[in-house]
Amino acid sequence: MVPFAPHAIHNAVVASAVFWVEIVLFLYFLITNGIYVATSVLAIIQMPLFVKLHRADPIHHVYSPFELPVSVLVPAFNEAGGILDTVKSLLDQRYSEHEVVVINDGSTDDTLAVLVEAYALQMFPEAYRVRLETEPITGIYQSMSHPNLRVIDKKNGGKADALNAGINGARYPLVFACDGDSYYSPDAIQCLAEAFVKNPTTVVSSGSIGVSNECEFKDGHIVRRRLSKRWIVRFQVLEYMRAFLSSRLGWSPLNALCIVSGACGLFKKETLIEAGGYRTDTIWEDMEITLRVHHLMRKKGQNYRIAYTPFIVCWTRVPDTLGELWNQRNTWHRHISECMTIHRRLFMSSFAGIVGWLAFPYMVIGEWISPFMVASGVGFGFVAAYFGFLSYYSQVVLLGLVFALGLAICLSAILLDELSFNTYSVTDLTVLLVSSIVEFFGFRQFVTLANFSGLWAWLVGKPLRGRPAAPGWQLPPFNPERDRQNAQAP
Amino acid sequence: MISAAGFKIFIDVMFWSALGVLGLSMSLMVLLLLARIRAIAQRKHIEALVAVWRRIFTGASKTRREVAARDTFTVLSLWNDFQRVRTDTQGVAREQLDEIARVQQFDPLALRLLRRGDAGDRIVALTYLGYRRLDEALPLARELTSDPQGEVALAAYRTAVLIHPPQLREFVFAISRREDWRLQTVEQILKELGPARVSRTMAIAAEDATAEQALRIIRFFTLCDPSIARAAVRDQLAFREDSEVLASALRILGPVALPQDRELIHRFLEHPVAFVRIAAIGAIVPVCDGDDRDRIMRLLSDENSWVRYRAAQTLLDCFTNDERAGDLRKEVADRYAKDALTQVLAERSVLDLRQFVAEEVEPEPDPSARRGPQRRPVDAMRAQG
Repeated sequence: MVPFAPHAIHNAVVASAVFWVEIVLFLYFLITNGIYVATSVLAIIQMPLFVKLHRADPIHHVYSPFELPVSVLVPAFNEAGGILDTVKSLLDQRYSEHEVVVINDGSTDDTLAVLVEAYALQMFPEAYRVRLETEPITGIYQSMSHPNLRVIDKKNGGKADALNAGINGARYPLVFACDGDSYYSPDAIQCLAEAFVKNPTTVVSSGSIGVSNECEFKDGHIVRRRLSKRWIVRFQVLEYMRAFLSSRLGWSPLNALCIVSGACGLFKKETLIEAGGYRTDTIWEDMEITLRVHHLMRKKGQNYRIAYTPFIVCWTRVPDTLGELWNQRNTWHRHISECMTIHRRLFMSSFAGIVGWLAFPYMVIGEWISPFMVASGVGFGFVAAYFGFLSYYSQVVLLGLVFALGLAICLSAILLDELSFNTYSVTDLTVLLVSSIVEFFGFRQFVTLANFSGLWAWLVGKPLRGRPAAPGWQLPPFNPERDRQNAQAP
Repeated sequence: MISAAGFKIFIDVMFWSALGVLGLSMSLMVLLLLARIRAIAQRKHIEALVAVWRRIFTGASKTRREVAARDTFTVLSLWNDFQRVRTDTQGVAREQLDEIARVQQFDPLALRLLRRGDAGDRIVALTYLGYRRLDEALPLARELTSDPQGEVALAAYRTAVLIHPPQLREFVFAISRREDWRLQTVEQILKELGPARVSRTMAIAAEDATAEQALRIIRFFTLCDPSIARAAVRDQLAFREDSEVLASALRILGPVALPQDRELIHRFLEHPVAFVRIAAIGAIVPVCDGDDRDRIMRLLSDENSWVRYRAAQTLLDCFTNDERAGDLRKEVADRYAKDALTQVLAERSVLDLRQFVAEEVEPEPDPSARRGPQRRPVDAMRAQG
């Protein structure tokens, strides 16, 4: 072991300050990773019982009038290529009663024409009720071949606006927010709706998402789960496993889930309307609406539950080029920044309970400022070592600790997936194990940089997708009363 | 100030922590490989096991086989599956399955699983013991009716009622008190018990219940004997004030209503809560006569869009033939009423067109067509509040 070099210290005060910064960084990584380990342990405890209860369920897939009917909302913007597969997988759901409402958000390609052709759509004079303000509706279509399929055609206003239009047009008490480019397993709605039947206080239910790149699909349904040959996709498979199996499953029993994926969230419609619908002035909408539901329910002091099922109910394609991945992570981090500032009043507030005192602070420390902490930690360490205030050895040890913790979390997620689903082949599983080590050498740093860039872009208010974006802190904070007023139907 | 020795201790702590976590990671990796080997072996074992027992349960094999403790869950689950589907797909008689269970000595296995297993094991064992109506299981089943795990408690109640029918009263009262039970499962159990057994007890339980409890029972009146259900919901409508209970009772009354119920239903057509009015419109459809037309016409201009929609449907269903449907639009002056009528008329024409498409084009059968019991959209308003 390389000994500490006292001869290198010229100034005892500086050395002491450096030491304490090092301690703070060490504690930061220990706490953030420690929380991750804790949620992983919670997940590992829950998962076997979850799977066994599912297997023991004596009446799985029995159609019943007691299931709450569901409106499936599919916002689509230029999805002509994949919309038919998505709609097919949603129409094929094994569920007592559901309708599919596709919202064509001013697509400039053939999305509407493809749907009209495939499902014999006819213009329909529906008495559309405006409960949430949206861009103008240009037409409502009803399928002649599928009684439970409608299409709302509207002017472009973004995904959140399209979902709000879908909520206005939804006929049922539960709404399932989907993506136009994802595939859904045949029992997706049943899995998600189960939470509402089991616990009447449930207001949102979500499930796991799987990576669909290079998986085999037939008629919108997955036939074989296969690992991509591209390393960038494999690393994201690991990320999805960590995020859904280790993290969300762990936060769920604490009722402190801070994000319900935009591709897979089943909401009580009236709760969404009471919350003012989706915000249209943020980059994404999924985390914001989840935090808003928490905020609203906590403020009202109402007993509620945001449920989560670990079963994979949705399959989505992840970026397979560095450019796409950079853009995705950049915008994700901008959205996190927006949400953290919009809902800043949740932070350790008296009314916020475990969300405000544990989950939200973890989001701030473990997610939001994480790229800054990682970059400054590594930078600080090596600069300090260069000037002789710290040994390189200490930096290598710190990095080694971060690597070991990251690896342990990753392996626990793979183990959870293996114990519960056991769907990857032996070769794929081996590749995943190798990927869990390789991702530390380049991929994680790339993602951290992309996140950092998102954080920076948010700070300086860099425009996004051709529209000016004000710095996140200029977004008005959460105000249910104002949102409700905005949401009044004319 | 910090000494060099203090800093060295700190680095050592980091070093050993890293080494420890790395060791943990390696153990996880080994565990992962072991889990995969075990999963492969287990899958093969279960496939073989299911193949053997499937032959026994269908009567193709009469061999007596020992069931290892680790296989109890799988074998009993399979036996339960056969019980559930015996009449429609497997063609296996219940007596035959009972005989197999007796010969193969499943009862002690199930009792052991019930005593020692986890929640999943207990559900499977309770389901089995319920089918077998085994007296020995009653004390254990009764004990488990208070299990905090909703699924286990529900399975325990089912078993207890099947073994000892007087337990039904307690079960029905439990339905009114527990809100963590899966409604579909309760529905299946009540169906299994049959309307002759459950109707009277359900009606009595609803009488004495609070509004919240009554709501949990009334929704299951669809599974009761119509005459008992009708009398029970009439009582509920006479003395309850809670709007959710009233709406629920009206929805039950609808399909079983008699002409003499019209007057009772009329009271709720002007109820201040929208979903009660919607339920009342639905309830009056089977028994309405010409006198009700004006009442429904008034609801066409209701402030709630779903009430207008339901009123328009009822008007077209009950009072207007297709030739006069267009004239009805001219009768109303209110813009929203016209919109509701336009939508319902369009839905009808879509329905006609759809039938035409189905007859002429005959598209290939599509599994996406809605399955299971269907309701009209507005009936789904029950949970909207």
